[in-house]
Amino acid sequence: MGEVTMDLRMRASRTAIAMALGLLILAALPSAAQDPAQPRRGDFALAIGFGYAAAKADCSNCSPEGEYGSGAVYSDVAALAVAPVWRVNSKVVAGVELQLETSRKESRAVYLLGIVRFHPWEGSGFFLRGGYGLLQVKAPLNLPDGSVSTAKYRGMALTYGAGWMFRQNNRFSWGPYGAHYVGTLGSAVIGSFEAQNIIGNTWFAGVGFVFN
Amino acid sequence: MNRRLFPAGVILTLAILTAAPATASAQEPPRAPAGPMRPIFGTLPSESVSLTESGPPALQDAGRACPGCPARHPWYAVGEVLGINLLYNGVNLLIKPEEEKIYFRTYPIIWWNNISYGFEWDDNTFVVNQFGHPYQGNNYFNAGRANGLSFWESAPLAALGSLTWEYLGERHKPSLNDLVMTTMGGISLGEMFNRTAWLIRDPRLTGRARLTREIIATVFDPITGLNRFISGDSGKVVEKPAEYVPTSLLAAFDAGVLWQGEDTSLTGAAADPFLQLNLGYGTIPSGRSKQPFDAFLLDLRFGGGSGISEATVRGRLFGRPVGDAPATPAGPARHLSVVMGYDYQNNSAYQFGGQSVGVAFAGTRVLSRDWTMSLSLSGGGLVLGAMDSLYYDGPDRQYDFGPGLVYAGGVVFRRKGLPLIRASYGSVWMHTVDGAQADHWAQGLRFDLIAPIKGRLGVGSTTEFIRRKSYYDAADDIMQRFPRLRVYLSWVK
Repeated sequence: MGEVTMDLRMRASRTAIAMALGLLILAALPSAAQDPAQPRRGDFALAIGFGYAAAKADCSNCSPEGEYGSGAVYSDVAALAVAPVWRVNSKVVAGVELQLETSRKESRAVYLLGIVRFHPWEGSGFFLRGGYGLLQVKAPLNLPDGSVSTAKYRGMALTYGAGWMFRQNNRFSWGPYGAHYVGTLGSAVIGSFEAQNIIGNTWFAGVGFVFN
Repeated sequence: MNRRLFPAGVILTLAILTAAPATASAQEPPRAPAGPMRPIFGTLPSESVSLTESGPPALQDAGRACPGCPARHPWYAVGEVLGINLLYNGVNLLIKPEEEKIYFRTYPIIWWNNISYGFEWDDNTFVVNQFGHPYQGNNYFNAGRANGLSFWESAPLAALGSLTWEYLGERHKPSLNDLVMTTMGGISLGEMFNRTAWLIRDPRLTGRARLTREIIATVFDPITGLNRFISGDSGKVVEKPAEYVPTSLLAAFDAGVLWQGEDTSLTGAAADPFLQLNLGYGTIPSGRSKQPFDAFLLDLRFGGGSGISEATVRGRLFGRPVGDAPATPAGPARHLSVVMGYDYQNNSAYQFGGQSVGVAFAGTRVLSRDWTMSLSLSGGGLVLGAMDSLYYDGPDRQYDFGPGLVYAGGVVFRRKGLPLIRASYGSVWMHTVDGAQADHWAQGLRFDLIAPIKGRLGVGSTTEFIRRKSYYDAADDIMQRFPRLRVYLSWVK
């Protein structure tokens, strides 16, 4: 299990690095026709993002030692996010994000989060993002008896991350971003086993497109 | 995450005990009626009398929003956040027992292990998680405020400080509850402490009086105070920033005895002495907000079941009157606000702590020449709460974590501005996501009567009845009831 996990994570890392390099090259190219628009309070924008994520599911009694750690299950995940957002002021946009995640190993997760994107410097593409909301997940869990079972539960989730936006304030802008999603589901009865205090961590790297 | 130090919190507690009168007298408000109404749970704005209007917009100064405002240094703020973590780490290394010091010796491999591990829940004590971490977060937040950043610009610094501490500051695995409590609690406590300290500071003064006030303010908000001493702002004679002059100020100091019974009886209940500070900074259900927390409430109780048995903060994020303006001064007025809340209740009967954001509606109607009636309704989300668990029997932790809802309502009758009769209801519902799987539902009814004795002195009584029911998935449900009676002398400033 450990070797498989390492192999998956190394592959995932290479994919993420290649994706990031590609995006940087794209960013360095001369931009197409500029279409600047002065942002105003209340302006609507639709953001769409996709990318790769590494997901980890764990519970407080999933390991034989009865604690978090060795019972964790890792998965490669493809993620797609859709976020209608509104401008609050020149540095902040806020809205709702729906993120769908799926893996080859039966993991499915849906996040519905209120999100805020904060640009510390108006003239710079750098931004921070954070969000809080709900999560529904179906994920495999390693059980102490060596078997793997799946659980489907709802819980709370939060996210934080950072990114860079090219051509911001234009009709169309885009850029790479990364985010860490944390979801917590409480306890789940799986067969005869109660997985306690399930928690999931998802590390996302991808690209976002914003239609202002 | 493991047990943390917060020696500054102990110092702060002592300072509040000794310096509270100074806090109240800083603005020399006119004689004002008794303290604000606050429900047992949930968000509910209060009311107070007008003291002074905010000044005109401040003049621009090099790097400053106004002559008395801190100079704007965003990168200093980031550096100070990291410096605060180094300080916490260093103090832990200094005074922790030898066998625990290893947890605070970190280096890049540990950092990477923490980052790649992700978050889990921790098992720290209730006090550490619900009070210690928010206090730590307040320091991060005020690194921003002390360096000229706005409330919203400083908020991410609380998250940055928490994340860097969780990932880099110690070997304990990063904990989700710490991230939320440090960030949100840090914002609530941070802005409250920042503004409270500015009540004490008076940059128009010189000499010993000035220095004394700067030092006392530093006890309340150490980061801003230290920045001012280092930059020399502590000695500059300027006007106080308009942002830090509340539209009104009301402080009530209560001293009395609290009885907390079980089930429906107070028979046999021990009498616990308590001291309480109620601070009304601005008026939440009045006017249009200009800055977050330009109106907030603070209730702080010492004794009454534990060292600090209650600390609640309600800060207005946004607020505006709704509907048509009253046709006459006697006409009804209505107000809507978004309120951020911090709760910490720790006594012999129950524990509750949490961070919430909600909407509050308030309406006021003049009943006669002397009497007015105010109605408040509020409700919102409990972002993350903690409530003592009745079944969980873990090695260290005896409380559950979870999100939920808070809602409240109340009515107050005032005679000549003095709230003589107050009744309120508050409730919190929390769904456990860590701990014993359950839904906790706590409700409280509260009835206050205050009678003036002479001058600013009054005698008050507060009768409370708290009902809590916990619905467990894998065990029998449990219902608890706690009647509570407080009798006290109240001095209003």
